[in-house]
Amino acid sequence: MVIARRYTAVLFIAFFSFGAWSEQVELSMTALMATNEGRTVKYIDPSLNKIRHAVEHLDYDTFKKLTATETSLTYGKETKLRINDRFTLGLTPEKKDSKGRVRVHAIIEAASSDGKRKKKALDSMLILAPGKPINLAIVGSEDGGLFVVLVAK
Amino acid sequence: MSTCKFETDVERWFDGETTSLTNVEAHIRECARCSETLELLKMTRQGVENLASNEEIADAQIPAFLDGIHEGIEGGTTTSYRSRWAFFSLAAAALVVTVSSISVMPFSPDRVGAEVETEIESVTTDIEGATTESFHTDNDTPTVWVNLPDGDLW
Repeated sequence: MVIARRYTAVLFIAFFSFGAWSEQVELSMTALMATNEGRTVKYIDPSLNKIRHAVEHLDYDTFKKLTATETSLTYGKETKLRINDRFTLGLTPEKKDSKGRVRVHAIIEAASSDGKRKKKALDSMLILAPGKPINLAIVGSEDGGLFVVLVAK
Repeated sequence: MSTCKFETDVERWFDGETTSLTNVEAHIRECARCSETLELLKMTRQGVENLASNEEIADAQIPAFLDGIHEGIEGGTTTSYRSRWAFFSLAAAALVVTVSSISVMPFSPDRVGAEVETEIESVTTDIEGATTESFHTDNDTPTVWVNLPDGDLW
């Protein structure tokens, strides 16, 4: 009977561990600056190869990586990812739909130059299909802008 | 069917009564029919005696008898607990397998062969003068676009 109890306990631990694991959303975030520098041939930072197809059609000639990360998000909990000194990305997964897509609340917060004030530069509700990239763009002028590419796994 | 005129005498002799036959035992040794009759009588008597005897539990045997009952009950309870643990273990294993299958296997009708797309539900900005739009690029990548006004955001 002791063995049976231990066996059951292990099964329940495994079950609840699996439950905790399944409440996570694996996601990759790549932030880049896209600018027009007068190039005749587009330059795309080689480190952006994984998400190249998501940005190469944009009307810019230069794409440089700012940061990239792969992270696990927890449903109902905001995860903040630093983009640079000025921008921060906040992601809160809300639920998964019947097609396996994850509904995510995404906020890009912009800080003032002294860092004392913050505003939501972008506040969006997204439904992310696994493996399908999405662009979040904050564009200040025709010369360039900030792009954040998200891919849920 | 053969008979013997002394059969009745054999029966009476078997019952301990007096008979006209002087030496019954000698006759039985020589007569197959009477020998058969005697065997039948012996078997009948033995059968009747067996039916008449009752097995009784003496007072001294009662504690041992009750101990046996207790052992049976306790043994049964242990088996029952084991069965329950086995059942719960099996149920838990089935639950783990089922949940794993639901989460990992794309058996939902919506997910079988269907091309799922990323969607943009809404987009807003708190920056004054900024505009927002959402569209798909030439290679069909969904894009959320915020156009900031010229100059500082603040």
